[in-house]
Amino acid sequence: METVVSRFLAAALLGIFIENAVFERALGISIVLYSARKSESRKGIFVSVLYVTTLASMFTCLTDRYFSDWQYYNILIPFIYLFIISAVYLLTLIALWRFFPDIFKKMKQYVHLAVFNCAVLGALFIQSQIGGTFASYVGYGVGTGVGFLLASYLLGAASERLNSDTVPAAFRGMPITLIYIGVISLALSAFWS
Amino acid sequence: MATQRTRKAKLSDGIIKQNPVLMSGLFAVPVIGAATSWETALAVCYMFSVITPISVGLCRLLPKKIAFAIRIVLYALIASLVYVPAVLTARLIFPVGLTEGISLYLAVIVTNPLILTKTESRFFLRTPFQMFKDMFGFVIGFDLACLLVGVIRDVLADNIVGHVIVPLSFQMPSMNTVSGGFIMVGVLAGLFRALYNKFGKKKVKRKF
Repeated sequence: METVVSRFLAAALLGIFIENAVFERALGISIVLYSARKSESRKGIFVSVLYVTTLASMFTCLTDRYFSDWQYYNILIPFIYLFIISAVYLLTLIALWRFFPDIFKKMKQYVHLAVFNCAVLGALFIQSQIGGTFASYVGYGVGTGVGFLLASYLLGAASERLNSDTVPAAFRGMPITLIYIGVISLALSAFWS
Repeated sequence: MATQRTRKAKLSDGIIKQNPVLMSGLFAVPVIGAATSWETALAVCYMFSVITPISVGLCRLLPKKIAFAIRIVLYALIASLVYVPAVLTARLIFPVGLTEGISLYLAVIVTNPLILTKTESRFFLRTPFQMFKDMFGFVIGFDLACLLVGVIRDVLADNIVGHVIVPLSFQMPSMNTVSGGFIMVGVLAGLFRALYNKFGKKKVKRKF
């Protein structure tokens, strides 16, 4: 039991900090920028990313374990992973529509952006390369979601200053935000190495 | 007033005004993460240029009666199937190990916004010819930005592009990292916007 918990926690911490999808791998930038701008949808996007990465990682662990020896597996990984993500997405949407119509109405505008993006697919891909047990797969999925939330809040906190008049007009918005993410990424890399 | 469907697409929209990397930041992930040299940038360009137009073309054949939630799923799955021949041909074209080293960033091209969101909001509103013309503008814009970033990072990090040595008095190894990629793309995006503001027809509004 202790081994399972320790592997889960180790993988989660890896996903949040050392292999943060946004700062260390540049995954999901557009959705992070979107959620940083729209704070009212940030919670919904975070929950969507966390939910899909965690649930999908349970199934990708099984496919990696039983099919990785197949010679065409590496080439078909995007298709297999997207199939799993799609199944989770559709079944969840149906359940929300049926049992929680208010939540479904709020989330339907952006849930497809939160689910079908580089961060979710990339996180599953990275975990596939790292390998490990079922607990580490799930832990990494949780860590990716929390790391995504961390990135979103850091950007949201700085967005007012990044879009202020003190920044030259040409750099306001996306350019200065990318530079800001780069500086944070540099600091985190130096800290963890 | 001309409708979106009848208005002619401009190739320059995707190359300059709405460049997906330097202007709108729509899809900068593989440029930041993988374009650390001119070779890897070329591989990213190849994969993007093959996957995006073919996927969008195939997605256009889907019936509009299908619910949006299922259409998005089908778009993603179609792109992931187009990925298969694209990556197989890339492994034949590029040196051994090159595509394997950046496999993560080549795989996430299947979830690029041009396939999943721009299809419905822009491309499918046009006639087929105008759609491909518009889309090729975006593809060319992405490729040019990606190659530019790859070459500059190559020069700054290793002072070499292919076999051409660039005699700089300094090196910046961090340009080979993701952090360097963020900063490089951010700086280039700002400079590109400044040039567009100075020489373009209209000022660019502040936007991500």
